Amino acid sequence: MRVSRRRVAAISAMILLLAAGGHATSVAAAQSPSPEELWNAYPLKPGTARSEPADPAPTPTAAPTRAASGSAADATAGSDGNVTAAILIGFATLAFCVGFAMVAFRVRSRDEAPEPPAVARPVAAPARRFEPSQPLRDTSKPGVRSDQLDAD
Amino acid sequence: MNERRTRAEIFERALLTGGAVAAGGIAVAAVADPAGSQPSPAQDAELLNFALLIEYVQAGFYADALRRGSLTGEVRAFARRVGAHERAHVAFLRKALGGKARKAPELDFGDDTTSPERFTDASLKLEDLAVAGYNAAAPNLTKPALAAAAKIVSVEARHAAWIRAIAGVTPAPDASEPQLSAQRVMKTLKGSGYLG
Repeated sequence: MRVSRRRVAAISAMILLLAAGGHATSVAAAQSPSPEELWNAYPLKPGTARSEPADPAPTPTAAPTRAASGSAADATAGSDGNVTAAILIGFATLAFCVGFAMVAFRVRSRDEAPEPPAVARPVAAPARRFEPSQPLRDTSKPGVRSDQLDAD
Repeated sequence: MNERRTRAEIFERALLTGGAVAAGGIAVAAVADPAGSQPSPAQDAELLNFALLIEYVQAGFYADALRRGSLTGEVRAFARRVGAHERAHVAFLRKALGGKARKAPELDFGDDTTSPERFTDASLKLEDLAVAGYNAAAPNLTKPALAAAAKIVSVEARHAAWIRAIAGVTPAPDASEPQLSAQRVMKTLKGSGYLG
């Protein structure tokens, strides 16, 4: 079977898109805590838990980064838009890949379908079957013709 | 033009179109922020209604806690003072929104107003969340709406510091706070289970 370069490229692109879409979807799902989890985690951080004494001399932070905070809520703070976008991208990519695969499959099926015969072949008559119930004809003796009967 | 070539062209065109749509969607999703559109009066109404919802929850929470009578001492004083503030915030926002103001939601605080400990924990979350909500809305408000919201958010921050002090938690643990999106604040508020 001859495989065109276009088809190889298309299949490769489809595999890459599927992998990217699946990855985006899984990452988005993993980064999206439920509302209850958000509420339960909000807003206490390990350093401000009630059991710990207040820090008498907090170190000033000129430019605090997200990595500096430790709670589950903060770890994903501000990422709602990113998560939603990742989910949308994942689904869009998957939908595109499924559609792409369907089109590719249909085109391939059409291309590889055998051409229908222009003229139907004459169907050969089935060979006569041997019927054991019929008596075998004795071919060693010549047959009797009608003119011979008349002569008798 | 033979049929095979036509199919190939259609296939190629479908591939290019699909790729362009996917790439466009990715670009738009990566660049655009749903809450990041230009400030406008219509968006002000949406965001102030979002703030109004938080205020309704807070006002209802303190009213419910005081009605149940489980609070004493400073916690009770806090609930009375802050509850009055939240009611004033509700009235202020309703007046600012006029006919666009949302109705008060059905609220159910469960057992979170039945003991000082549970009340304090929940109040701490609500006050911090209110500050986060106003901060999330601020960049997308027009200047007049921002000025109105600024009058409230500073008071919410004082509430948050007060209840943190009552709870024995550092009132101001960080020099700055991470910016939460309005969606995240809303999602967190829904997680409380207070909204019916």
